[in-house]
Amino acid sequence: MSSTVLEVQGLAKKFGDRTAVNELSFHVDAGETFGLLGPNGSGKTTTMSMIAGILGADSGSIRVGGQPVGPTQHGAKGQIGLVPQDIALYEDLTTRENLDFFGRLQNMDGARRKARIEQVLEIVGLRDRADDRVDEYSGGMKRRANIAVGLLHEPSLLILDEPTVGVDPQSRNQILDSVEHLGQSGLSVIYTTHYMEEAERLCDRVGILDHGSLLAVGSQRELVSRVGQEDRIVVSGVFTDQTEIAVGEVMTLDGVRSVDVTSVGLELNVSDASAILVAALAALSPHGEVQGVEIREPNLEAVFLSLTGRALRD
Amino acid sequence: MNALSAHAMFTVATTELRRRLRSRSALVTAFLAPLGLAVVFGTMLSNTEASTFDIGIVDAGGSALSAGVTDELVSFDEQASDEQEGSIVFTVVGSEALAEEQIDDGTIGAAIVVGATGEILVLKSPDRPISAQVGESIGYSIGGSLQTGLTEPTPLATAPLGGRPLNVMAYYGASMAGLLLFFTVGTAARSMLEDRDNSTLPRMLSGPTNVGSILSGKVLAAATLGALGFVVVWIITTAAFGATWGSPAGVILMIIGTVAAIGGVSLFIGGLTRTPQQAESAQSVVGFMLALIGGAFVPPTDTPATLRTLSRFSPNGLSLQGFSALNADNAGIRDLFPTLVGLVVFGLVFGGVGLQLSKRSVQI
Ligand SMILES: Nc1ncnc2c1ncn2[C@@H]1O[C@H](COP(=O)(O)OP(=O)(O)OP(=O)(O)O)[C@@H](O)[C@H]1O
Ligand SMILES: [Mg+2]
Repeated sequence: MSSTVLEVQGLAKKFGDRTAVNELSFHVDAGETFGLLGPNGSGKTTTMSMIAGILGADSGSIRVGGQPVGPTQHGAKGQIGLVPQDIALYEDLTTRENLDFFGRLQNMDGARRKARIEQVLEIVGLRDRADDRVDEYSGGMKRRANIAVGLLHEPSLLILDEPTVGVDPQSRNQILDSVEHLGQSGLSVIYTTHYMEEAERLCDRVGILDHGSLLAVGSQRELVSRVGQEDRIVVSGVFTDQTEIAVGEVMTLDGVRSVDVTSVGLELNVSDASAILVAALAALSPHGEVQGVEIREPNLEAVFLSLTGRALRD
Repeated sequence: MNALSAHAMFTVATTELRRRLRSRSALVTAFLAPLGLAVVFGTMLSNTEASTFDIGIVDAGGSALSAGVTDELVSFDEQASDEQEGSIVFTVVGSEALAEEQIDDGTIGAAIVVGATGEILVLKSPDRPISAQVGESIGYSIGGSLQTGLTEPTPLATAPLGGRPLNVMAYYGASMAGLLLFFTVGTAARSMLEDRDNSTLPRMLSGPTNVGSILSGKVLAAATLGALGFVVVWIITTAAFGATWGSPAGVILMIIGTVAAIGGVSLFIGGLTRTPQQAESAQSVVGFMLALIGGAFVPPTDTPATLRTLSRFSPNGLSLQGFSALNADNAGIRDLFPTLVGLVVFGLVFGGVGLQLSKRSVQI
């Protein structure tokens, strides 16, 4: 069994009467990338702030590497690298100057700081722009510089709070690549997002957060099977007056659970989409013109929908 | 780990200075603004009544003694003239009533009325506070020496100012530089709130650093710029306008004390405010009020007694008291000691409370 890097028990936080975080319990294993997936206001940042020890919890406990974490408990802080949701950099300084400043505050001595600055610049791909002021950067570059500072003091647990918010698809991909890389290099990562594709791509396990409560925790596969979601085959096309017959035809196939008629065609709920696809199309084609087909495997979006009755991004 | 870390403080202070130098705001706060103030006040004060203190003398007693005193005053005029070119002009005025008239129409700023037995009455113009101040101090000092010479000492000898008149330029230089400090040192609290808002503060706090060390570093940087600005006012008023501030060592100590006191107060204000904008406007309002109470605009000796007492509770008032003692009484460092202690205590008390308050106000 792998060792636990982060252990969160019964964590709760209220702002006035509003419960931001409600009795959270979860853990992150060494080398694992753990995703916290939740919509706006679900409590992701509040949770991350408490784990980073900059916000006091009302109750519950946080342990990083076995040591308690809190605003007055600095023991484990060296093991935690925080990448805040906002660009937490001095924009009037260069990235190298920012790194140097935050490195000093982490009590990194001169030689180690210098060497490590080069390494993190390499990791985030900003070496050639390191001496430019941050306010001269694109949004994506700022995001990458933001991550670099979190990595600087070689934490064992990296907290990434929505690191791709507001960046173009290309920069986003670049960031996801780096995070994937970091995860593979053995770093433990907590990754918060409200993009389920990011969680699906990066995370070994995912916690689904809504209104401050964890609704479910597990690998994507576990979560999907827990909510009993099925594959879907979405067929678009024209079936005109023969729709009824077409539906009746595919329903006779083994593995087809149900068929919905939609405005653009048919949606088949099936046990295994790839196994049944060819047969389904063969059954349908005599009754109309199939213009497109798409397989939808159950995803975290569907899990979220099933757990909350709402879409992830409302 | 609630202790302040000198390393963190220094790191924050140097970065703060670097950023301010880069944005040129340091140039403005530490150099251009003080320079501008010094030049404006220097020019204003050297071209107006400040350079000529018109003081009337009334021989109201008609005795040999009062005539002698009048002579003494004239000789004082000459002494003073040697020291400071044409700064005090005495005119003999026929009667007390005539003196009042001349004060009203602005011909003179004060009148020293000498009685038959050497008692001194000083009439002061509300419109020419500086001449009035000078007249009063001369009157008192002459009265004091007369009384001690002739009869036993009387309370009249408690002259607020000694042998030479208060140097107006030095007084207003110190007062304006003190006012400016609220803006300069006040930027520390503002910078802290900005850091809270742009997440650099949370990032700092995610490491082994605490709010106290960060804020202290910012105050250190702002206070350095504030002290530099003060020094600029001192140098410019002295070099370009002939102000006499008094012993340089004393002036330096007073600058440090003043920066400490005002730094403490502005930390306190910073701790009470929640946004950078609030911090900025609160600093200006409180700064102006404390400067006003402290006599930055009208010397406290020209104001009612209650205000004079009140002025001691303003860091500006305390500071000006020390600077006045330096430039008018030629006070030594030993004489400044109580004022300096007062300033530092002021700074520590308000700064300490402000630091505690700030821990709450920067709550993420
Ligand atoms: N400092 C605060 N004062 C009062 N309420 C707060 C504060 N910080 C957060 N909240 C509230 O707590 C809840 C959770 O906020 P949080 O920022 O943790 O959500 P989030 O999941 O990070 O959202 P987003 O995706 O928008 O970043 C929200 O209802 C928010 O309004
Ligand atoms: Mg958030």
